[in-house]
Amino acid sequence: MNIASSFEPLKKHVTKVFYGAFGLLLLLLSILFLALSLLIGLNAIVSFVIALVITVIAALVVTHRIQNSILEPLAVIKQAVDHVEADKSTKPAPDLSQVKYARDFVTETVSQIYNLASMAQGLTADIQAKKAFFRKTINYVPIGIFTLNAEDKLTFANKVGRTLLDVDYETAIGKKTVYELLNLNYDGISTVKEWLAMCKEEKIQETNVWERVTLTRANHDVNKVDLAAYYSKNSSEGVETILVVFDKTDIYSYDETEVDYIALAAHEIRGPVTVIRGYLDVLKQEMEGRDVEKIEVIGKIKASADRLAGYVNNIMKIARVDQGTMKIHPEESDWATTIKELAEEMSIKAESMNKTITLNLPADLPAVAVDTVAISEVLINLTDNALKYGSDEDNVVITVYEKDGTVETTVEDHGNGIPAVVMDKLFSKFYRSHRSRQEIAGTGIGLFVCKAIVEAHEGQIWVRSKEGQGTTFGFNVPTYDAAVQSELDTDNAHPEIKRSKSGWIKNHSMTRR
Amino acid sequence: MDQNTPITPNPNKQIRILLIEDDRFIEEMYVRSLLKQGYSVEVARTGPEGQEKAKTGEFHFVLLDIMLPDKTGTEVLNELRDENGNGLPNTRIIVLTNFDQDDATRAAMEAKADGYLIKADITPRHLIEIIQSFDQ
Repeated sequence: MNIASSFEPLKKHVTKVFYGAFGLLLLLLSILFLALSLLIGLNAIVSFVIALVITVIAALVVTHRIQNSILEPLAVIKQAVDHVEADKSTKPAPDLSQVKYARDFVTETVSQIYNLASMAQGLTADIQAKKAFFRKTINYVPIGIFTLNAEDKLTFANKVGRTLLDVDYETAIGKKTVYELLNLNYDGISTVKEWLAMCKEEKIQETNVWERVTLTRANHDVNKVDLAAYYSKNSSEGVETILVVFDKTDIYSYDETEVDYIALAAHEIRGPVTVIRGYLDVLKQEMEGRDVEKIEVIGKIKASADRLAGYVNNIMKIARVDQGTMKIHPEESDWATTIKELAEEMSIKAESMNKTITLNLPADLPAVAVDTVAISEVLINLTDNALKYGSDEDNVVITVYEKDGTVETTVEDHGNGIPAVVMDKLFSKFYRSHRSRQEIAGTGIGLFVCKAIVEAHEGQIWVRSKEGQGTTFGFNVPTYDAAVQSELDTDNAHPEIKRSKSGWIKNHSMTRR
Repeated sequence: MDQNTPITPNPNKQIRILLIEDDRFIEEMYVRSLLKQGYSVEVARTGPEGQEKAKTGEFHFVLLDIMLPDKTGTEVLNELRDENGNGLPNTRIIVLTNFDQDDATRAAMEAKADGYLIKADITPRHLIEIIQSFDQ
């Protein structure tokens, strides 16, 4: 038997009782009226009134009995609900043996109430257990996890996340934005705040990653972290953004230690280079107008010493590229003159390989904004590769032209070309040429660093190749005019500082020279 | 001598340069060229010695190496000038080094020094041109 099946008989019983009671009361009223008026001979109105009074009294008695038969089961059901809701020790359980009316229905209903209560308790315990498991997991992972609401305020931080805060967690929840809580510096890339502002305007869902971000603590300690963020517009439960912080201080500090070691080595090499270049320049000056042949010899030695100084600088650049902190110092540069000198220099090498270099240069090439030493290295590397991989007796063609606010330079060879399968790996960090031994032996600094140098100039580098026909490498750099505005906008605490590849000077008159 | 009382080098007198450099070869090279140019040159070979001489305020220019014995050029600079570049107002301090600083240190030095030059990237002639270009 269940509630539905026990309810039907109860319904029929109650209906019968009501109709039966109603019919009996009508019958009683009629009988009393007839008895009083016909048998006793009372006046009709008097007889009716007396009959009515008696009938009302009888109705009250019957109603009272009916009321009990309905209210008693309801009271037992209510008692069962109270017992289940409250702490069971404070409220008594219903005694079903005392139920006189609709016992089957009451028994089934009470039984179902206790079943449902048990199930709810079980579910609650299950949910609590799952919550505890997830809380433990999320606090166990060695990364900081923060959730933010639509106002970018903190709604949750896991255990590791709380160690990254310098304020009391409970006072910060719901009140402080993540920007107030984490002092992050991004070294030129867009910030989390800027990215979230963009997402709120343009995106439904979006993810992003930031690398090598500096987190400065209240005690001035500096952590190096990577960040990952997931944004979802109008998410439920007040979480719109999840921000994950990976503390990479140990790894990136190691990188920096490595760079410091390289910086020390570069420093040691630069000492003798300083003296060699310095005295060569002095000799050249002091022999001006005298022995032309000796001056030429001094010039050649000086050129090599200059190259050596440049290579040392590039060692540092490579180290900083690896670390992700390479900086270049662009200045107004006459690329036409530079590239002519470089092409002449490379022609000597080409001749020794029975090859030639052709330079296509327009008459009115605008000045560019480049770190001349760094960009020269890029061209030397690409030309060196073209000479190595070009065909026998090849003519390597260097072409320069202005295009859309940039100056583009291409280096073309007519060798065997590059297989399609390696094309997208050419500029990657650990790429070794498909003819690897020759690449390792080369004088170049690698396409990876070439790409880093060009991109540091906010330029692009590319390659086109067809197997059997040859390869063209190209790169572009901004014209000086196009770069002037961005120079003014660069992060520079002292705008009056004039920067060059040799360093910087804080002096207005230098900029007027 | 009270470091807070600035001593103005006599503008009519010869330009006096203090070279704080521990590499003998580099020192000789710069001294030779600077003397030939007509400057008065004094040399210090350690950080403490350089700092003592510099803080007299007698020099128009202090050419300061970073990798020095006993005290680095950075420490010397921090003691000669404060965070806002105050201290020795009549002396130009040019860091002359072969050490590539990271950007944070470079930025800190920008506030205090008047110049930062990589020695391997310049010749004595360039150095003299830079000295001549400063407003006296």
